[in-house]
Amino acid sequence: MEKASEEFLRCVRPQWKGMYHVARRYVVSEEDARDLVQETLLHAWRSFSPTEERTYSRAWLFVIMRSAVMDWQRTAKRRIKLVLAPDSELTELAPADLTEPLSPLPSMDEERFREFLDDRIVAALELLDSPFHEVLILSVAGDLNYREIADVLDCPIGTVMSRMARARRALRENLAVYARQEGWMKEVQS
Amino acid sequence: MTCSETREYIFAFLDNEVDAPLSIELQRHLDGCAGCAQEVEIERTVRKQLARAIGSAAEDVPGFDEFSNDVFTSEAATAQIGGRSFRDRRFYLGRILAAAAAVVFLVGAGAWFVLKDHFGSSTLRGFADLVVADFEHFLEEGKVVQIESADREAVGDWLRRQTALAVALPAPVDLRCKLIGGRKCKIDGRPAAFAVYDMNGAPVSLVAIAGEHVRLEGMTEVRYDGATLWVDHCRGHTVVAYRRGSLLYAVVSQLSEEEISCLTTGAAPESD
Repeated sequence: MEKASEEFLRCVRPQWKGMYHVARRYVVSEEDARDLVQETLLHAWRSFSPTEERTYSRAWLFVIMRSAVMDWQRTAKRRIKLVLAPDSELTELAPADLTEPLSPLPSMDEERFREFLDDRIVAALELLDSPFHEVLILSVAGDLNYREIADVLDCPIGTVMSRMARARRALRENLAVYARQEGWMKEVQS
Repeated sequence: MTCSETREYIFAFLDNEVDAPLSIELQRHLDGCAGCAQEVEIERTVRKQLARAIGSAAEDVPGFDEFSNDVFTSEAATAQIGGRSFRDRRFYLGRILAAAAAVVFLVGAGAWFVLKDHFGSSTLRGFADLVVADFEHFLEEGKVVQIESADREAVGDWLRRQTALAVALPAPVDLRCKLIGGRKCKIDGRPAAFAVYDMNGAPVSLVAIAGEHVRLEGMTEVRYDGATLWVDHCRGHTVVAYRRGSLLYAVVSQLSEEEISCLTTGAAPESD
């Protein structure tokens, strides 16, 4: 039987980069992100038991990380960039029409479009409301699928799908606002 | 499928989160609709650029070994979670010790068991006092639970997800004992799962924390029905603790040991 520590490392190592990138989005400084990851690993190790009949999924690590962020938020020990609302405080999000056309973006070739996005996409992301911001970072930075995100946020998978769609639409709208403000919208993509 | 219907699923489609029949229908529409196909390409590029900006870009990601080694040293393992910063001087001393421990760990196959025995065990002083204080706090708050349900599986699932502890709620053999719900909390800075029961009008709590190597001081060890229990009395409360797997459980109530024995079935060798 393998040692518990080797089993633990095998569970955690593949998620390492995702954990770091997500931590980097939760807190302000890189130093705090390293502390957050460290705290997550310690909590995870303390609760890890390969003899128990359970699966240590990726979501497990992010549940622990999220719990640490909420602790830090409550005690104001670190500067939190993405302020999380406790689940009990999240009211039902207003229904949005997900069938409406997406906000138009300026017409340009692919390379120029990528340059446009490079300069503005993080700012556009940070303007999103916290529930939308979070599903995006768990998906894009943490590489979690919708089922895993639902486990982390302790909500139905339908809620994740809805929030993800609304997050991407809002991101698109924010990018369109930048494009309009900066005079890019000479031709609008249909 | 119409353009309007396609827009509803465009993001789930890009994330490979739609089932095969819907995926085929969407693709069929995209093959015949230049407008929707263009939107998909735009969103694909947006996601790719977002991933480059906040995700898969490899710059400035610290080495995994630097962090994983620290987890296994006593300096990091006993630092109070949520309390002292890792940036204080003991953390740097811990990193030096971690480097030395890493060498031992890599070289010796049995080194980890020695280190685990030396660094992994700890003593939880006043455990009974801690769990009674938490119980009293719960009662003073007005018995607020975060999940309200009499369903043992539902509450157990919720507690496992929320605390990342492999909590196993016992199935009380006494029909007068009813599960009310659960909440997550902390005992001595450690994440804890808390379930509350009603025993003929009297509240009874069951707390679980990670504690495979925790030694309990001040509690009386007893053998009961083939299981080992630890018993103490504190401020008018009875505390009965037991181990199951890597967790330490404690049943807390103002009732007697006999009356709450239905909740210590988890300690029995053949429970559940």
